[in-house]
Amino acid sequence: MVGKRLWPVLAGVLLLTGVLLSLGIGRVWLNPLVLADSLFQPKPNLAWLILSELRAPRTVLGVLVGASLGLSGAVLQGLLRNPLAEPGLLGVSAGAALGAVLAIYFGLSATFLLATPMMGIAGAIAAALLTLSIGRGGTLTMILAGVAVSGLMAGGVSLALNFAPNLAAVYEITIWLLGTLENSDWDQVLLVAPFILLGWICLAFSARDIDALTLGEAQAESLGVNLARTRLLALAGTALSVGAATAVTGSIGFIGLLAPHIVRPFVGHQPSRVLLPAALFGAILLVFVDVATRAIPTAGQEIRLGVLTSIVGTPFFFWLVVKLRRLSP
Amino acid sequence: MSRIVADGISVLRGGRAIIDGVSLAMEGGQFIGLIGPNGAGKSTLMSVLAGLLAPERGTVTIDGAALAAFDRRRLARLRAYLPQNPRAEWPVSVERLVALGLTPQLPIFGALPEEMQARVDAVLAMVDMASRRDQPATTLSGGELARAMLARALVGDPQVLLADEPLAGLDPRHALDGIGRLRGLADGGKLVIASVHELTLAARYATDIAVMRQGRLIAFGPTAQVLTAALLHEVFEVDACVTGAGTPGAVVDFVPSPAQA
Amino acid sequence: MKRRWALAVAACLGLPLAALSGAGSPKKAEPVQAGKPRHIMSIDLCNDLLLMMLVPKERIASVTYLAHDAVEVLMPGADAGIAINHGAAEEVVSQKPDLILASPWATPVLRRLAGKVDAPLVEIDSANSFADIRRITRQIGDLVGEPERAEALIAEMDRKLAYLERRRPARPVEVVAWSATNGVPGRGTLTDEIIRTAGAVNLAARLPDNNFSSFDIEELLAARPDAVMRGRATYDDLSLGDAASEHPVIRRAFKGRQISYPAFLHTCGLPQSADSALQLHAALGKLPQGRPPW
Repeated sequence: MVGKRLWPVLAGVLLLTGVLLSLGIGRVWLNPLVLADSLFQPKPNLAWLILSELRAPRTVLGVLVGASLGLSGAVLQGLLRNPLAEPGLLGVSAGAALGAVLAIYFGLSATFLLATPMMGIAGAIAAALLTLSIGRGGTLTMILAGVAVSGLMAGGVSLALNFAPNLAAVYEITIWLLGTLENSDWDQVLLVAPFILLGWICLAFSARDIDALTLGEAQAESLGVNLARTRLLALAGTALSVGAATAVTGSIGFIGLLAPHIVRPFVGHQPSRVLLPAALFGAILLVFVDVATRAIPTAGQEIRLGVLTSIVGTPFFFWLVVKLRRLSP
Repeated sequence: MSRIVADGISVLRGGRAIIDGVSLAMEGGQFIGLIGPNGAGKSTLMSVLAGLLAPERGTVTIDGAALAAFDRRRLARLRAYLPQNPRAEWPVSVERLVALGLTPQLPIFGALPEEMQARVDAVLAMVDMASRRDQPATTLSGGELARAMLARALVGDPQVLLADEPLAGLDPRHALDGIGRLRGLADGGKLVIASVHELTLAARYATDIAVMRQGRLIAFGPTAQVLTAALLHEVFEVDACVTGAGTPGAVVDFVPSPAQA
Repeated sequence: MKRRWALAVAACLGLPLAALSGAGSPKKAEPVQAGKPRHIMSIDLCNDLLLMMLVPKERIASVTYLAHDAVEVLMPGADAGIAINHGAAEEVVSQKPDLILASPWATPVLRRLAGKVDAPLVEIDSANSFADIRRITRQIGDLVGEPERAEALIAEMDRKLAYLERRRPARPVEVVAWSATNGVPGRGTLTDEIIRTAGAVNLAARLPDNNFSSFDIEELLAARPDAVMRGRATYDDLSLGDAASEHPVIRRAFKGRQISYPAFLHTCGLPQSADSALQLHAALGKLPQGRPPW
């Protein structure tokens, strides 16, 4: 196990590097010294505008979203004792997507800029309540309910695409679904931060319970774990944090799946020990990929964040399956 | 010394009675071997006695207090439960696995306190697993895992231990070792209830035997009185020869029936 | 007997061949045979509007369902009583027009069916300049048999353009027509010509790509245009793209410097597109003095 004391330092350095890169890189090249100096120049100046209004909220949102995905993924893998579990399983991400798509479809986003993320959050919570009410009575039932709810929400999105009023709406819905941090602003940060932080608190409180689940559900129950409460904490935490995150960014896959696996070689397999490192690494991963979307030169459209996480994540997914195949009898 | 009283327990599933009107009174110092054919309802009874399954009829009390009213964590500190074929879901170290037994006592956040670490060390030594404390639990052999799980159950110093088929899949040495430890715990004042299929070992080590068949309690009492050839014939439909039941030299021999000879 | 059988077989073989040959050739740009078409069908929004400006209602078979909202803005009431189509091939068969005005993206199925019902289908290009608008207006005027009305519309447009030509500002204002998702119109677009006609400079024309390139908020800020033009689809719901372009920094940085324009007059080349240039010219005069403050 590579330096137990070392990993927090490593994570901190990586995160700081990612944040600095995210503040320094964009379509317009600005000298880092100019950027740093802009704080002291008379406002408004171009560098300060770009830094404070565009890149800073984008970076903050990237950290919040990435950490939420990583944390939720770690909790769900612990709850289900399954290395392939990830936040999308509970139907929450699909619900957030449907909420946001409906905001676009009905033109609500025109009247009120924050309508899309707000509807997204509402969609996530609605999906979570649906999963909770159908999926009562066991972990397997909850997962199956989550899959069913995901399907329902995805059907709703398809309906919206089918009956979209014009081509522009179809395009925008599709592009939104590909995921981006492009238009992040401070209003969005202020809107989603409370939900995300509340979600983190719920997820953190499940730490002891998912540790006990290392022994299986029967022994965990005998140790005083209220499994229904653990499932509720995981669901509520995911709905609040990942739901709010998806509401502003669109669908971002693989981070919630990848981050816990990347940190396990460093911090061990005890589920509660994986939570914070997975959150940190999810943030690092997302910020770096977001920087890459800005740095990769493309003619015309920038590569979208969700697309790039899929491209990066899929080879890892294959590797994971092969590794699991080798380990199982 | 804890006393568990089960009164008229019935568990129904799909209209059928899995357990039908079972009443038992048990106390610390006893090692109760629960025997019976497959499907007799032994595991279900153990779940009910452990407080993990609520019966449709009847009550279970520990020291006079109803099980249903117990706070989860208080109950968890009082009694330990080992299900059939326990396994570790993640490759955590043996030490971590055992430390999980202290979950009811642990604070929500934070690392293991000093005095609890000492208990983990003590119980690891007791089951002779101290040398393997850092080994991933998923790489242990059957016997080693059984000992580690027993350590997990005992680290919280419970008054009652319920173990469902703790000797399943163990070779003779580890089975003898395991059941010997259980008897040792009972001798030390704990109440131990274990369901077993190995009748000879039950005859040697259990202080009392409870016999179940088709959801009913057929017999319950000291080993020497209950474990007889007549009972085995009635419950298991086999011919057996029982000698020295309740003594360390007990043997349960199966006599081949004329058709098999 | 044998001869009748032979004729029947020949007919059976010949019919499909005839149909195939008829269907295989989309009839393009033929001036109408004799007289003016009396039952004209338009399956494209831009053509709808030109059609309604050139011919009386009785001679129009149908226009698209999209036309109404634009008509309310441009010439209210002009579409009262005119049937609606959805650009579907079945409607071509049921309405039996004697002329179909289509865009270059008409589906092959539609073209085949138009051939089957003997309706000449004409593809009208989209306009990227005022010269294109003149050409297309004349083309449609000829097709529907109203060349004089077409010329009248063109003359009106040219008057407006000449008016603007005489009033070129001394210092051209720098603008860019910006939308976060739809790209910025550069060289070779109608928007570009409208901007130039109004006497401004289109910053996007300096970009290497022709037509539309993408321009994100950072680049917009760095380009420092005097004004930003925002296309308002006055009848469509604003979509996320437009709302997303309302990033707070845009609102703040370009306070008082945002000029909205009717997007459909830029996507459809109409004689009234010159009005957009007039509106732009007027708006440019009302901008705050000086360059943007950063």
